[in-house]
Amino acid sequence: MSTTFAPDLPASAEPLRGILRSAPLGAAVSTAPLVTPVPIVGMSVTVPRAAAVTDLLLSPLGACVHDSAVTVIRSRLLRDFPRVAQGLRTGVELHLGSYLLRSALGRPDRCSETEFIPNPLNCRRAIGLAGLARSIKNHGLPPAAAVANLLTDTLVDVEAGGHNGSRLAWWARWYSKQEPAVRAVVQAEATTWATEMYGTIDWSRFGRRTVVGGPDDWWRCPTARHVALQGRAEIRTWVGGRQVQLVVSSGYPTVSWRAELAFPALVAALGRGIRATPARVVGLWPDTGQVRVLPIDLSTLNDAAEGVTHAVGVIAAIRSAGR
Amino acid sequence: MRSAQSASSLVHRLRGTGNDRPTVDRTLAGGLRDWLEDGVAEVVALLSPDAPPVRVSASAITQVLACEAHQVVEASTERTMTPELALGSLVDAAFRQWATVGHLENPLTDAIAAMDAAGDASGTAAWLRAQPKATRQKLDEDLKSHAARISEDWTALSPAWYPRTQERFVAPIAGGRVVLSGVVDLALGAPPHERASVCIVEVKSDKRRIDHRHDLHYYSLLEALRSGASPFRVATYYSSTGELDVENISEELLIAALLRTLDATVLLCRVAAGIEPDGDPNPMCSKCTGLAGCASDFQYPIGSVSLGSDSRPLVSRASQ
Repeated sequence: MSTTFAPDLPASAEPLRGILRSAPLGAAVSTAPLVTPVPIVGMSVTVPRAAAVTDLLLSPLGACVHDSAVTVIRSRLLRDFPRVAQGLRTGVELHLGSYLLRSALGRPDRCSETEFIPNPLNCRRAIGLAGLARSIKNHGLPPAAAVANLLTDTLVDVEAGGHNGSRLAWWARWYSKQEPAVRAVVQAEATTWATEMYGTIDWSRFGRRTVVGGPDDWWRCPTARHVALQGRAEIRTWVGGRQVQLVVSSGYPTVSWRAELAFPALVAALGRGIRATPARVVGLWPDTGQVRVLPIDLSTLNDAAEGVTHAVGVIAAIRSAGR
Repeated sequence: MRSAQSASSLVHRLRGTGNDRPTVDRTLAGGLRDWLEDGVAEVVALLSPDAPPVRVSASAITQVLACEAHQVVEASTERTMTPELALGSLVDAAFRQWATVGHLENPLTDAIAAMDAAGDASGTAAWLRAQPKATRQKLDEDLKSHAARISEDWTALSPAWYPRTQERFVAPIAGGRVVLSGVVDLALGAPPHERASVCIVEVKSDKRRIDHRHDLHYYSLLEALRSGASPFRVATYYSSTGELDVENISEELLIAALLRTLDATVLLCRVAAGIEPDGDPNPMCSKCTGLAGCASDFQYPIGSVSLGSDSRPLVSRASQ
């Protein structure tokens, strides 16, 4: 499959037409679960990037997905999940997020059951995103300063034990227990993450409803209650009354990039209904500067559901074999 | 002790003024990418369809251009930690702490804690624990000296300069079958608009070598591919002496970096495709861990005067 370009390509992205001549990364997508010829834009270079990425996020949207379509998808998952999740250990929950989905679809060897232990690398997104939100809220506060302030305030909040009305982030207590040198690494990682993100978007073009970070979407399967899907987006904003999301990933887009971008849309649809379903998900890989745009339609959601079912099956099989 | 003025001068040399920064050529990055894609297309076809991506890094480039056989040995053997390598990792950790929080308390303890917390990928922290007291003491003294130099030479970095440490650049080409990557110690400057605005800095604990510049040119190429504009300036800071080797990045340098990267990538792909690596005798042979089993017809005479890495062939086989 060769990459095709969206007919309503924003003006700032026009120069990209000639740049991604063969869309080499897109070529590998043909074997991915999402097979419908969806218009996508792959972007690797343009200056200034912030304007181009923001245009891609905020450009006009296509047709809506009908509510009845989500009902059909939900029914299918209710039927299939108990079967594919059989191998999972009793009493152990499977929280399927984007990282685990990516692993199941591309690197099954990384799907074994492991305990989550916080460290500076796996906390960088959460802390960086909170710092970024603070930076946006305090117009022009540089990300490095925002992250530093956030971490200082976190120590105060932990010290107060939640009695000062603040709600502690999941990483707060872990961070407060670290020695200063480790805190510095945490701060460094989060600062780098937040600074890269800060420069990627033209923040002045977003409305007040825009959410930077915000709570994840969740859907727990009623017929397999030990399986929960976790949809995560870095930015949620609205175009013509409909939600669009920006999702950030590390590394570079792999063969499963379309499934990864469709996943948070599927979880939002299942968990909060069609009104909360994004009409478009833009994927951003800051390490490479690459961007992918995935319009969310019925076939995208259908294929995402298939991909998720496959992933749950892969994880269950691997964890079952590992016991 | 150096004055605050010299520290401020160091930062000024890195950031320059708006006038030092060239206008971004919006077509250059796309052209560089096309050049790379075209240059590897033929050799990538030799790879087996299910082969993992060929990983290209600054060190792999240097190694394979010096000798393919040496690179194969290096890639297949676990890195042997030495006090020099350990010092390099410790200095990197100390510099990162300084750049982030602006102070260093106990450099060795802090650096070990930082490396442990980040997973100790290089194995330096574990290696240090296994060393005799005398080795640790020597490294502690050396690191203190480097840390003192860093503290004297560097002012606190203003958040308004958008400082980021250990920034990662990745450039997948040929459909992701070849992945160029690099991590820089420090990047300064907002994303480029009309003018290039980023400066990248590498910190080295060892002596000045020409390879260090090559590494920075490679990172500049990656940044150009990633963000559409190369850095306007790169620098290597030598923590043992306080030297700062600053260089402006021009289109010519980027193209030279691309040609060097392309040469190396072709060789790395050939090796990954199972083509027997060629030995290329050079003054570094005596330090090669694969010397005993080297299939090269002749090895560089052991005991000859080392000419350093500058003695690498001027033209690699890939371009001959």
